[in-house]
Amino acid sequence: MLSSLPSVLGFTAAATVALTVILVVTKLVHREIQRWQGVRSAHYLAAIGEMLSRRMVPQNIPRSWATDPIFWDALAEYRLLVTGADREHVDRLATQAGVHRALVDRSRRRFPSGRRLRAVARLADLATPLQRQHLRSLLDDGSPQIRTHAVRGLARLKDIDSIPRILDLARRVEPWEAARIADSLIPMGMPASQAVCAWVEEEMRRPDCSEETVALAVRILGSIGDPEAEPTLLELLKSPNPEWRVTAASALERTGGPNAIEPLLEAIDDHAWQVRARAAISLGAIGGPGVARALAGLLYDPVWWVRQNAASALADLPGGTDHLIAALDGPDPYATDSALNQLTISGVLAQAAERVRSGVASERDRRLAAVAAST
Amino acid sequence: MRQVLAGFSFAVWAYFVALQLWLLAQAVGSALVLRRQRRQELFGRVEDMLTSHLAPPVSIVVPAFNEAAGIVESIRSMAMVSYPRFEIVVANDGSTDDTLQKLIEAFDLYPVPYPLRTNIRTKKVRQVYKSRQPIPLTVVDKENGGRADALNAAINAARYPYVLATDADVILDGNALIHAMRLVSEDRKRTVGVGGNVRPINGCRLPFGHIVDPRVPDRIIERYQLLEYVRAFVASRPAWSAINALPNVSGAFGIWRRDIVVAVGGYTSGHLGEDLDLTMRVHRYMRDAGQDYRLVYSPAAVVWTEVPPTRRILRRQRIRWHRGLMTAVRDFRSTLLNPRHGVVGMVMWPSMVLFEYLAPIVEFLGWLAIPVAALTGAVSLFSIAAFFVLAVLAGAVTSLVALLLDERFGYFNDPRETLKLLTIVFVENLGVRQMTVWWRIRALFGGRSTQSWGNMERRGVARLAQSA
Repeated sequence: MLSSLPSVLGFTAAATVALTVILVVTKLVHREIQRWQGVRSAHYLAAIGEMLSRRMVPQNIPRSWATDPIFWDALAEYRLLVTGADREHVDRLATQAGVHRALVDRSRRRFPSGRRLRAVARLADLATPLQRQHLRSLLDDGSPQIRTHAVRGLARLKDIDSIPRILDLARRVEPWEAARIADSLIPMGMPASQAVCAWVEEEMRRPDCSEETVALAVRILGSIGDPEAEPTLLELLKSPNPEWRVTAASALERTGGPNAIEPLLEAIDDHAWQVRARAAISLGAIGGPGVARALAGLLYDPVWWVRQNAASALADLPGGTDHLIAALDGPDPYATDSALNQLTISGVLAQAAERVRSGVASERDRRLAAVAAST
Repeated sequence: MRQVLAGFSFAVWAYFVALQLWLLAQAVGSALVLRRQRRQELFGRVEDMLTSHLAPPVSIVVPAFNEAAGIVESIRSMAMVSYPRFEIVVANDGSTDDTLQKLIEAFDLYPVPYPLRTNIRTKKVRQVYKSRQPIPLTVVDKENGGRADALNAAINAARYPYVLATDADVILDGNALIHAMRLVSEDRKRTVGVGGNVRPINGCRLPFGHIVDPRVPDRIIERYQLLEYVRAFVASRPAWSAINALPNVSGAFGIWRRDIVVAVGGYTSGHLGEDLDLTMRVHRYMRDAGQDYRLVYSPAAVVWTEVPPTRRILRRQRIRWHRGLMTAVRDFRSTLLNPRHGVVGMVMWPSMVLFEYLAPIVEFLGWLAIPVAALTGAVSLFSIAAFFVLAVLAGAVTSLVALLLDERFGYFNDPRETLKLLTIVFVENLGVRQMTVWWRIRALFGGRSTQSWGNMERRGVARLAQSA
């Protein structure tokens, strides 16, 4: 073995020299690229800003701009920054410069894959309805990153018709991609909620139903906050799947109306504490008659999170503070603890102490101030 | 005798080759993982997560003991982190300096009767404070109990389902939390923890609590640690993360699911390697329970920390770390080569024992045996010289590969910084590395360690900022 030492040594020395040279060259090249990209980026940003302020779309934009990724980045950045007529002007500028055509052409060529990914990412930021069909075709691409950006682009174009296909895609892919897809769909807003509801209802009927994707779709509905989604969410609230019940109870915080109160009041007796905890928050957000009394009962729940959420919800409800104060004298130290925590966070105790100090305190204020002092 | 010495020299040589090949294999694995993660992040618009309702809220828990030098700047940098919903919980572990007073003054704290859940038993909490400023800050003032105890107290006070355990002397990169939590939100069901990429802050410029100009430190000892951190966090952890066998979620940046930390009993008080201990206990807990889980690493979640600037402080830190590893090797001996613990028991933990725990012993015995072998003629002088040069070059190859992988972050591209890096790549094997091996040997045989806090004498991020 020791006889092979000189050759091993020679090989390692050569590798060391080669790696040192590669490292030095890479660092120098990176430095120059960063510097050069910075100059070009500043140049493009200044040019686009000038064209926007003058409301002009020049006829003779240099052809090289359309294929320059730095120009794509500058356009995308500007498009995100501005709104209304300015944004439309950026779109016209991109069309006039031939950027859309260049992006579509580049995304059709598979190699180098990094440049292709960059083109699709920018297409997602800059696409107009004319590129919708191309983005739809990219949903079948083999690369998860390309698919994710295609979904982002379609969501930006508010392509409602693609939603079932996108959610079907989310069923088949890895969790990180499904999560990214779900995140992308949220900006579609209320127009998307009906399509998402229809997909959820159909999926629930399928024998090979994907529980995770349904839960993800419900989170999308909750984030969009469309009241029209309420019937679907109420149906899910009664499902045997605890994760669906949790996500549905959670989504009803933003989407639920008076019809949701009764099912949510039933949900606070659910055997899964996560459902009770989320239902408490949603009831606090919706309000309604009898809600405060029901939530006051949850202050005695054996799970801390449920008590905490119930106390937090009570603080937002008319008359809820009275229930919290009543719990201070209750027999259950855990309920007292949660109520005290919430009264502290919402500033009730501090306000009472302040009123006592300024001499305008009621009997209740004095009691609360005494509680604050004793703890 | 000569045959024994020659045989031992050969064994040391074989161990050394195995170690270098193992490190290179990790670097290659890390390169593949970094490439894949880079593609996932490429043009992914991480800032979209700021408005995402799918982003789970996080409690940043910060233990603090005599951190008056830099605590205010650190908390300010944490408060500036980009993330939709987070809170900061500082546990002042009975500091004997004016850490608490500085916090009270800087953040306008006032005492609140905050009811704490004692999910994890800790030393007595004296008082809880909240900030009047628009910062979601809670300060738990408690009796001294060590770093682990302070972390446990902060976890008790944390409201959110995920906790980010960090230190009071770190600067979080603006998007660190987004990058790390994206891994959580992508697979909430299975993800129980996320480790971050820790980098030395020494030598950097950080006006306004943000790193604007990462630089290679001037002192050799600090540069050596920079290289060590790059090797560990860029050329090793990504590979472990890919096979779900992350050996350690660093104490400077570790996101945990709160219920899992509570289920395993929190951090172990008095343990000298509490981060390694918690990581291993979570692995064991999840694998014993037969639950599908993942403990991942996010290279993009960058956190900057002050590393020991002097030999004396570094020595104490390294002895403490190695003692922690020794305790962990004893505590998790049931995991070693345990097929029930899968890749953790069969690959990761054996490699930790072989290449981390035993490495200083083998290396030290090698130093003793090889000269004796040369003197007795068991091994030729040429072989020894060649072996030494080979050790230096092989170490340099591993470091150079790690630095090439580190290029994805785009740091240190100035020619002067590159030169400083290259210097340490070749110089580290001419004394600095041997020094750390000696300290680890001392740890094995009762060298004097620091207290459980490892209270490093810090210059403080405030001073670093002023010197910028």
